[in-house]
Amino acid sequence: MTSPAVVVTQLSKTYSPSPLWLRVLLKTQVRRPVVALDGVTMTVPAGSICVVAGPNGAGKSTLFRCLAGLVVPTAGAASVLGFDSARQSRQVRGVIGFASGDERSLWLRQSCEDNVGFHARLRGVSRADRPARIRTALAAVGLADAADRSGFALSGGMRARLQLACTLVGSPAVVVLDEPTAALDPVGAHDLIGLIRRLAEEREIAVILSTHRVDEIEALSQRLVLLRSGRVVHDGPVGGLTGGDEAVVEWRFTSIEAARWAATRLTALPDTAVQSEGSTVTITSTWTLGALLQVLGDRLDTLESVQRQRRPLREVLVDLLRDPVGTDRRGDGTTRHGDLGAA
Amino acid sequence: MSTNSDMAMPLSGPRPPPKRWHGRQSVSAVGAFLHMEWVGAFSYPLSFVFNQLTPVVPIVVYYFIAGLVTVTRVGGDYFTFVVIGVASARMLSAGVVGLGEPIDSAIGEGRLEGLLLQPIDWRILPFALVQWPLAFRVVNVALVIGLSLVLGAHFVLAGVPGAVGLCALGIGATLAFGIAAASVKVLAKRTDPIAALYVLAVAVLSGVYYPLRVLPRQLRALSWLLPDTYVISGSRHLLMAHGATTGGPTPWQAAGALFAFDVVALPASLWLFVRTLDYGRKSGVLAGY
Repeated sequence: MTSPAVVVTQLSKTYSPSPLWLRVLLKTQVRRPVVALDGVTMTVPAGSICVVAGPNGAGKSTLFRCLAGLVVPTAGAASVLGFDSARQSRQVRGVIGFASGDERSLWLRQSCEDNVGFHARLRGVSRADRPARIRTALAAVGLADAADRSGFALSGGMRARLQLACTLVGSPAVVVLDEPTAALDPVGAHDLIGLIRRLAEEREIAVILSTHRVDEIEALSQRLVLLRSGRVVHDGPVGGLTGGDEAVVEWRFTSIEAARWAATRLTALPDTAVQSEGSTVTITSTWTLGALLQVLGDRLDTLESVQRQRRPLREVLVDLLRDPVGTDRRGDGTTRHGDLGAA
Repeated sequence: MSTNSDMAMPLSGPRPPPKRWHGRQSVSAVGAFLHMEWVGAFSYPLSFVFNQLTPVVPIVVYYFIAGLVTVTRVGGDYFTFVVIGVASARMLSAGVVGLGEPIDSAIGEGRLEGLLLQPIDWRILPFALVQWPLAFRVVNVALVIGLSLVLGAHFVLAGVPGAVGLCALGIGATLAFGIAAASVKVLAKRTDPIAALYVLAVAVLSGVYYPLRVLPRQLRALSWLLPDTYVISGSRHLLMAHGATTGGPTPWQAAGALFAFDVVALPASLWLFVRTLDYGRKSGVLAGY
């Protein structure tokens, strides 16, 4: 069992309204306490990818900033490689690499090499090691040939990869990527996700990534944490959402009689629902396909085709994440994150 | 994309964070900012040249005005008098205005969060960000002095080291102002008025264009609150043949006052800066709230 690189325990964050003296400096829209995170608990082992998804305002960015030590939680704790994010912020920043989907940390007038070199210096990479590490980081993201090109001359996908190279040059144990594909076209996003998967596997890096793209959630389905209004509503593989153990299978037989016979036998199985229509039998069951097929015995040759059905992930996510108006309003005057815009 | 061999040793496996950063690592981190600003500035060479020349041109205006001013209160040489004032004020503006610009740009372009996520001591950030404005002004002031020499300004060479020392102490003092202003800026997102007010106060109260004694007594009391007053006055004593006649604090008085201010105000402003960032972590201001 790999020890967790990231441990989050009952993490909560409530943003309070600014005190009056601060409102003199900056007018803020936060008039009531805003609950951004509410008892979030999760762990991320080294070498694994954890996708954090949820609607806008669900608390993803606050969670990431708590991990990186940029936001101090109201309750609970987050630790990275054993360093407490709130109390040992600098140590945590030393082992964590953070990149966001926009180009905020890039110096666009400067070359790729300059950008990666800048991050190498901020991360304390020695002068002797720097050239090799810069080359390696750029090669790892496929930008070795673009080392001399300025940020302005890069496409959106290349800029996203450059951000990743800046993050990797410090050899972080944990990489946090806040919507890294937000500004990318489908091909660029696909390439970047492939790259992230490979890096996580090859370098034993724990990757925590947020995305709104359903295809990415499915592609990185090792682990999905769904947040809604600051709470975890799902933590596990994507398969658990789209049916999980309970699969829906459609069998088509060579005749109606064969279908009826099979339906009768299948109905006898526990935890199994059977619906027969013509020569088609639809089975909802926790049994494996092999176990179900054994029911047919020597009549297996009457089975013409088998089709496994899954509920589309998009529909499952919408059902899970839809937040009926008012349901998250608390009786204590606080408001859920997302109900109010940030300042 | 890369091959496996591309990703050999240098990046393989996470590195534990250094328990304590050595001074050399901090210097390297600070130097990284200078390098990036340098590369950025020289990617627009013409803009760089014009930005350097713009503050130099008014020296010509002062040269002609100096032909009309012959009073002894300005050491008998108004042109040299005003060049020292302008050059000193320009140099010292690195602390407040110079630091404000990169902080503004880091906040505006969203780069501040990225910087705060680096494993550097946050106290080195102001020094890292002020380097380029400072270096820019050193070149700028050198051009101002060079042009003024061509136009007939007279400086006492023996006083140059002392004036440079005073200037260094003055930059430390204005940097303390700048760091305090940056602390407010991190929370308020904008503090342009602070920098504008400072520039205005220096122009009116610190004797850049006229001796302090021409100011009403009440205003003169405010002059002593500005580090520029001490640097300008002390430098005139050192660099002008009859500098003592211009009034104001002597070089030693100026150095003493600036040193005392630096020793108290710089650590205090750094403390305030870090406390502000800590407050921002708790309140969520750093995350946009």
